[in-house]
Amino acid sequence: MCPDKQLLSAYCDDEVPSPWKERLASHLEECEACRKTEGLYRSLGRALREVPSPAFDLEAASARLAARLARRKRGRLPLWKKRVSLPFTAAAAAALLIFGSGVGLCLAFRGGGEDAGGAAVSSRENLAAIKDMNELLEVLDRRGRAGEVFIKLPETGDFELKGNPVFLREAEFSGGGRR
Amino acid sequence: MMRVLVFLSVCAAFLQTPGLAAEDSLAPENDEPRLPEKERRLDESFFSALENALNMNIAARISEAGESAVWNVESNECTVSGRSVSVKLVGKNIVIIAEFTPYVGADNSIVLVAQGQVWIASPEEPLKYLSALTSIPVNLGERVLFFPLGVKSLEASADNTYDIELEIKILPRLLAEKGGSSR
Repeated sequence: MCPDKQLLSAYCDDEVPSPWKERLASHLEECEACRKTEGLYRSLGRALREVPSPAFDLEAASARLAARLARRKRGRLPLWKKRVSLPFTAAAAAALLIFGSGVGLCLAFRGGGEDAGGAAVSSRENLAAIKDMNELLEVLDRRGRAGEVFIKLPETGDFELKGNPVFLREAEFSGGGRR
Repeated sequence: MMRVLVFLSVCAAFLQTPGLAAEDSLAPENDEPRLPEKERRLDESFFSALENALNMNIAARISEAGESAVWNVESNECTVSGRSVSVKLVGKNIVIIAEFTPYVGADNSIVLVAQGQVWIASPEEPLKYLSALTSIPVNLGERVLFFPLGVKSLEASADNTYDIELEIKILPRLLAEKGGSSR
C-alpha cells in the first residue's frame, strides 16, 4: 500500500522516525509512482532552498529593542514628578471629572461586591480508579502540561479539607473579615 | 455639547503633555534614523509581542491556624492573552493543580479563567477529588486568591491544621520588569 502525500513529504524532509523511515525507503525501491512523487518533492525542496530568503539582522533588532527598553526605563518618571501644564478651563474640567468619577466609584462600591464574574462550579467526588498518591502522580505526569510551575510543598504535616476549593478576589476575601 | 467640548479639551491637554501620552509605548523616537520597511516590521513584531506579554506572579503560602505564613514560595511566569499558566503543588497527602488563563479584552480589561483541582488522601477516607472553575474580572495588579482546601470559618480557627493559599497577580510584563509588582 502506498503512503499518503503528507507522509511522503515528511519522509523527504527527514521527519519520519525509524522504523517507518526504513520501511518507506524499501517501499520506494519497489514503487515507481511513489519514487516519482518523492523526486518531485525533493526537486521542489531544492528549488525553494535556492530562493533567497530575506536576511533579518536579529542582533541589530535585539539591540534596538534593548535600547528602547532602556530609554523607556530612563524616561519613566513617577506621575507626581511629571510636569503637567493644563489650560485653566481644562484643569477645572479635569477636576470635575475626577470628582464625578470618585462619586461614581463610591456609589458603585456601595452597590455591593457581587461582580465576581462567571458562575463558580465546585464539585466533590471519590476517585475510584486511582488508589494512592503515587499512582495519581504518575497519571498526572503522563498528562504533561506546557508552562507548568511545579511547587513542592513541605513534607511536614498532613493537610485537611475545610471546605470546597474556592477562588476569591482579594477585596472579597478582605471583606470577609479574615484580614 | 458643552460637556463634549470640555471632555475633548481635557483629552487634548493630556495628549499634549510630554511624558503622559504614549508613555508606555516602545515606538521609535523622532530622532532615530528611519529604518527600511523590512527592519521596521521586524521591530514592530518584537515590540508588539513584548507590549502584550503579561507577567503572572504566583505566590504559594502555608499558614497555621489562620496565623501568618509559615512557608511561602514565589514564582513568575510570562504569558499572553489566552495562554494558560498551570501550577502544580505536590505535598505528602495532597496534589493541587491550578490553571489560570487570562483573557485581555479590547478595552484592556482582563477576565481570568481559573480552574482548580485537588486530590487529597487521608487515613480514614479514600482519595478525594475536588474541583472549582470560575471566571473572575480582574484589574491589572489585583490579587486573586485560591484556597484549595476551602476557606476556614472564623469559628473553626482554633484547630491546628494548615491552610494553603495561592495568590495570583497579573501585570504587564514591561511593568513587572520595572518592579511594579511590589506590594
